[in-house]
Amino acid sequence: MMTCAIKRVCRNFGERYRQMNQSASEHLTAEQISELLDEPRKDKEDWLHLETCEECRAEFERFSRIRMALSALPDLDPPADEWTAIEAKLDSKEPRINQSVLGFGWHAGRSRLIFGSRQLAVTVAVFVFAVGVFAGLQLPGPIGFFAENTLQPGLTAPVVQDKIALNEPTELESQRAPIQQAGTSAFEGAEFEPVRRYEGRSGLLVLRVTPRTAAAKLGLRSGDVVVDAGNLPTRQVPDLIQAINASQGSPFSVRWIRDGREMVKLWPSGEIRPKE
Amino acid sequence: MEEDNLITRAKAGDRSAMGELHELHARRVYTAVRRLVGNDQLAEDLSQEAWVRAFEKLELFRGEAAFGTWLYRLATNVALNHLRRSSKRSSVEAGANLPRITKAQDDVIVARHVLIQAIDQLPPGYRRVLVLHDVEGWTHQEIARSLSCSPGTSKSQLHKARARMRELMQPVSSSNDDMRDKASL
Repeated sequence: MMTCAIKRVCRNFGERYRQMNQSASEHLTAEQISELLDEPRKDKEDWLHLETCEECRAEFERFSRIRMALSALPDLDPPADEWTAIEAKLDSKEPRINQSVLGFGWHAGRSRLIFGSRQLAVTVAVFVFAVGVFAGLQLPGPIGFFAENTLQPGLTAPVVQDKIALNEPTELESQRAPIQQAGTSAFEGAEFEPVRRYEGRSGLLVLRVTPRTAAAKLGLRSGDVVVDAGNLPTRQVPDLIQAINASQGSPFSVRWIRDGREMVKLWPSGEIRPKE
Repeated sequence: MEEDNLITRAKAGDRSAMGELHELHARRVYTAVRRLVGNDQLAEDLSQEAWVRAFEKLELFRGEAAFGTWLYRLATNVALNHLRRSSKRSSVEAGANLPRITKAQDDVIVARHVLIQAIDQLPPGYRRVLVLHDVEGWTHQEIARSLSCSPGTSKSQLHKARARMRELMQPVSSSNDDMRDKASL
């Protein structure tokens, strides 16, 4: 029993000696520093080390700054067409009632045509035909009626977006005055901030994109960095205006970086061009 | 209250009221989901799923909490459930083999992007605890309840996640000191 007690004392003394040695010669681990961030006085020895070790104190400050930056991250913009996609999903989940021979039914409460499933082929055929009618074939009679009422929101979106982008001012109009003055709207709806040396290049960081605007139609998202437009580098907002003016109404390319990948699209068609 | 009116109309199936509610809360919902899943495409799908579920369950919303809070919790649950399901399907940590950030940025806004990239590169288990605690401000008790683990596990995961973040924010192309000054905001 006596031997055990002596062994225990020796072991405790050895452990204590090892800890003292460690605190004098080794730095705190990242996890220990993280613990001190949340509970500064939890571990007295770690805290004592922090007070005496300049390097660990500097690392503690860096952790602290990262945590502060994390708590101040701004909200992100969802994709511009999110609501359209949600509506389509809501539509697909609505109950089918009053199905007719053609596979259509009329939802009395919502004033909208809904699809049945038994005559799917007929439905698809009429749907495609209706798209053609809407696009300008101007077929007469009941076919025109079906076309107008069965189009999905996603298919009408380009037309609607064009109207909004070209004719209707948005709430951010005053903040984007230089771009509005250009008379063309490829970037209308976006806010930019010049950035340097992003992925080794200068460009315009997209801070925000208003849904259903020209910039959203183009495909820009917050966080993208626009690096050129019409093959002209874009370092300042006026460079965008210059690119628009230089295009003289012809389609022009817009190139941006997203998550380290380069993307190129043609305005106004939205056609994706291969990386040059 | 305008929002109460919108909720009442949305419960009755008014699509324009639903659209206005979406307009009001879209950023908050998308942000919460996007931060947790660390991936644009997945976040878009889950954000839509959260909204569809919210409108389907709108009848259950009794107004005890603010609508935004109810919606936020619902969206967070959608994202966390997805992470839980996907972690059962595969035990490989999604962020394990991703490239490290290679550039230090001296612009504050771009440095923020460095931070976001680092979050996205965290393994999902680390990311969800770091996002819930350090970004969204949840307590360890709340996280533990939501993830069905102990507060101690939540703390331990958080410290490991922060250590990994710190590691990820060290650009390989510059010296440590230079990087620390630039990337640590």
